[in-house]
Amino acid sequence: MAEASSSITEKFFLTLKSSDGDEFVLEESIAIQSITIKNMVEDGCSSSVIPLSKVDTETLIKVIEYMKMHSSTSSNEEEIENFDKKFVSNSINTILNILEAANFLDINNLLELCAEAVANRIKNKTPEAVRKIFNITSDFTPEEEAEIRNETPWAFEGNLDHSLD
Amino acid sequence: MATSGNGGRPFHEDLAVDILLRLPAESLLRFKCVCKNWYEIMESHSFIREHMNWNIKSKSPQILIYDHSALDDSPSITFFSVSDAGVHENPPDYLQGFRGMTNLLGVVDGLFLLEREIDGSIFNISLSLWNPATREVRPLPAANFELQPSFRQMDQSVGTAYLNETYCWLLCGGGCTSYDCSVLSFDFDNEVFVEIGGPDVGRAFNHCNVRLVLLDDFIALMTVVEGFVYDIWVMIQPDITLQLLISFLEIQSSLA
Repeated sequence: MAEASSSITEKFFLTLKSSDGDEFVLEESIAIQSITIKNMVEDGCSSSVIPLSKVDTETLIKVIEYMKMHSSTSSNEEEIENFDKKFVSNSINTILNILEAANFLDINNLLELCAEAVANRIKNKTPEAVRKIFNITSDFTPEEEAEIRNETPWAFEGNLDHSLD
Repeated sequence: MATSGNGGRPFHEDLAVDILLRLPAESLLRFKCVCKNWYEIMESHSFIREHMNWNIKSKSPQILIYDHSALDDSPSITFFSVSDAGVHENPPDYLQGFRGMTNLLGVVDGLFLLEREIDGSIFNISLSLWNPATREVRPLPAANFELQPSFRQMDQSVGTAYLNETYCWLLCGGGCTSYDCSVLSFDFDNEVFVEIGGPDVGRAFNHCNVRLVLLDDFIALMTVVEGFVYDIWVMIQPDITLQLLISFLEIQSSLA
């Protein structure tokens, strides 16, 4: 009975449009991992194209890849684990873009995966490298900065990572 | 990399918090000087509390070895962290500053209470709080108050534990003839002391054969039965009774 009803269930498709204007057609059941999209579907605003003005094409492709892997019933745990491992080996800039997209689209497990990955990548970096990665300009005077550094000089010792990725 | 920093936009502050929460304390101390905004986030009580809770859930284990019988001129505390990279003895240089710390009285949420004898006198002591994550040692101001008759000397305590806002002491050897053990707990929420007796198994307990341990989210007693056999007694319902959880044989590890 259950099988019969599922076989006649029609598959619904949604069209997502990136900030670059590229359109992607995606099964609704996959796309609604995004709470933002789910809410739009429930409010009935998904009949036409869903514009995602904050997500560029490169990022949207990655997010869709992720959602496909994490929704498909055929992929097993090991497959998902390997996918996630490879996923977070993207450049740190790409991961930050995906993190922002995951926040906008409200996909919690993708947000957690990216935040964890960024933390792992930056934990041994210098403050200078971190500023460049996050596009932050220091608003401390050199004296103020020196004072903060002198509070815990040991935290600045050892082999720190200067790279930006 | 041609462009840095997210296409030129500054990074979303809430998302920065999501990342910072997952960093070890050492990285946070280093990134305090990144900008004023990050500094304020890391100094805020809400962030510190959330970071602590986060770490309790996911932190790699750290081991503190406290040597009761260390000589006066050597630090009695050694700190190890266990990670994927192996076991590291934390650079103990700064622990040299602990000279004269004669007692480690207990720990709550990663903060240790240390006792120092001034001029070698047990009647003249000072207390300090030590945070191993930030390597800070803060002396506490002297507390001057009259000893009340109801006060109880905790010298007999042979172990302490803190769980769910409750602090516990393991007490042993109440008298010359009876060698009972009991667990005294203090609930910080309602400020009530409760004492419950240890297991009655017809054996005497002393500081050598009973330990207070935390087992997941339970206070438990580990007691030596004989030889390498131990019992573990768990406090299933707080403050009521101890139940025997398991009796087990210690497997001696072979170094061959």
